Amino acid sequence: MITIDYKRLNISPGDRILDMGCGPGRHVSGACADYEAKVVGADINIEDLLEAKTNIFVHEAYGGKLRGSWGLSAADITALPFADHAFDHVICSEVLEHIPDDHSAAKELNRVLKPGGTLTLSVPRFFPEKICWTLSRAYCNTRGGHIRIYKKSEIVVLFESLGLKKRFSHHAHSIHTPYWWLKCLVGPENDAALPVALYNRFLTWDIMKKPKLTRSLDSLFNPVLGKSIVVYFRK
Amino acid sequence: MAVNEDLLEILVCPKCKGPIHLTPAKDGLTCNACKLVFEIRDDIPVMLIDEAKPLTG
Repeated sequence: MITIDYKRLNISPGDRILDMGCGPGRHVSGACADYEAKVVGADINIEDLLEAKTNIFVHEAYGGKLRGSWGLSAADITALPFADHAFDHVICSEVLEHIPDDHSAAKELNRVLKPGGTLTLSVPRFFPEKICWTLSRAYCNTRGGHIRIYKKSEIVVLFESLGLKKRFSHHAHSIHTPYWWLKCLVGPENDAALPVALYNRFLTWDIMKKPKLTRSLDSLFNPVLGKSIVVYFRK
Repeated sequence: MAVNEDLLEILVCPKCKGPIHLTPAKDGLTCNACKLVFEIRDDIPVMLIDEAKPLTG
């Protein structure tokens, strides 16, 4: 499931890309599959990085040869282990809403980005997230879970205060929004509940098969129901 | 497989942002300024200040 639209980044061969908060590596393998880039996946969770490594190997074995190269590192977003201006592109998808000191995180993402480079952020969109928080106390009280709900304007101010310039934004994953509302309704841990289990099967099928019908529906409903807001900046 | 070479080129100490060096056994990355060693686990550098070990010797 790819949240960031790489086509909007103008990636050139040899560019370095950082995916901060890469989790199991979906954006790392996505970038390596399509671009001759040097991609670094970083995450604070070593278990997620090990899963990412396995997933990328599986992608290489069964999904075709990767065009780019990749490396993984454990890293704290508020104390990044990368040199100043190391990356041409920095992406950070669904991470900042977990980070208590988001100002330090934003400064670090900006520090490692080259002047002229792109920084792309995604966070949960305000109104679908607000409904999740209203439906379920457990959803927002999970350890390591979401600690704030951003308005798009707050994300723009946070990064423009560092000198970056917003280029454009869009919403993503509208067909995932009802799934999370259902989960919150029955309890976020109750994955066995029939409506949740069925919707999960539907989403997995959609991610694996990418059928035109559901992809079109997702795009059609993104402006009103999109679960994530994606904002593109240039330094 | 070892740590990705392109990654090694841009890694710095997360604390002082200074240079780091592979240990002779290639199982860690050392920051001489902070006197810290960052473990390499399954070819993945663990560049977390809280998990770094003090440099001895």
